[in-house]
Amino acid sequence: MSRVTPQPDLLQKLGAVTLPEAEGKRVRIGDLWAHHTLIIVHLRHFG
Amino acid sequence: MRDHQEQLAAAGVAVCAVGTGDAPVAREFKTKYGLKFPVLVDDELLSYRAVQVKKSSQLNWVNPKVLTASVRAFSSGAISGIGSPIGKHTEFLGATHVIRPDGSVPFAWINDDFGDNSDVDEVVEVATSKA
Repeated sequence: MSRVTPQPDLLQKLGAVTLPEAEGKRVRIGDLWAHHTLIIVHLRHFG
Repeated sequence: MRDHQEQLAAAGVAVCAVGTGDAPVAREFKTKYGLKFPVLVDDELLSYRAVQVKKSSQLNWVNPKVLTASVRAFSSGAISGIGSPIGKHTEFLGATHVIRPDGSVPFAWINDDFGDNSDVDEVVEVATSKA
C-alpha cells in the first residue's frame, strides 16, 4: 500500500512537462487540470 | 480506469495515462483498450521523475505477490501482443494522482512494486467527490 503525501513541488514540476500524445499532439500536463479534476496514471509500460 | 470513462466524463473528471515507449505502441495500446482519454508518451521519463516514481528491484521477481500478479497479467493477455510494450525502461514502476484545478492533490499513490497498483474504485470515488 503506497498512498503518499505528494511532494510540495509536484504540481510545479509535473505541470511544466510537455509530452506528445499517442496521435502526436503535444500536451502540457498542467493544462489538463486547469479546468477539470484530473486523474493521471503513470503506467509501468504499455501492455 | 477504462471501465469508468463515461462515469468520469459525466462527472467532469479528465483522465490521462502516461507510458514509456513510442507513439505507435501508445496508439496500439489506446486502440486495444478502447481508451478515449489522452495517452501520453514519456520515453525521457520527464513526468516520471516529476512524480518521483520508484524503481523496481530485481528482488521483486521473487516476491510471491509479484509473481502471482505477473502470471495473472500474462494469462489474461494484459501483457502481450503489442510490439514491444515493455520498452527500455523496465525498472520504473507506476503512480496514480488525482489533481484538482485548485491545486489540491487529494490522492497520490506511488507503486512500491510490480503488483502494487492503486485501487481504481477508490481513485474514482476521490476524483468524483466534491473537494
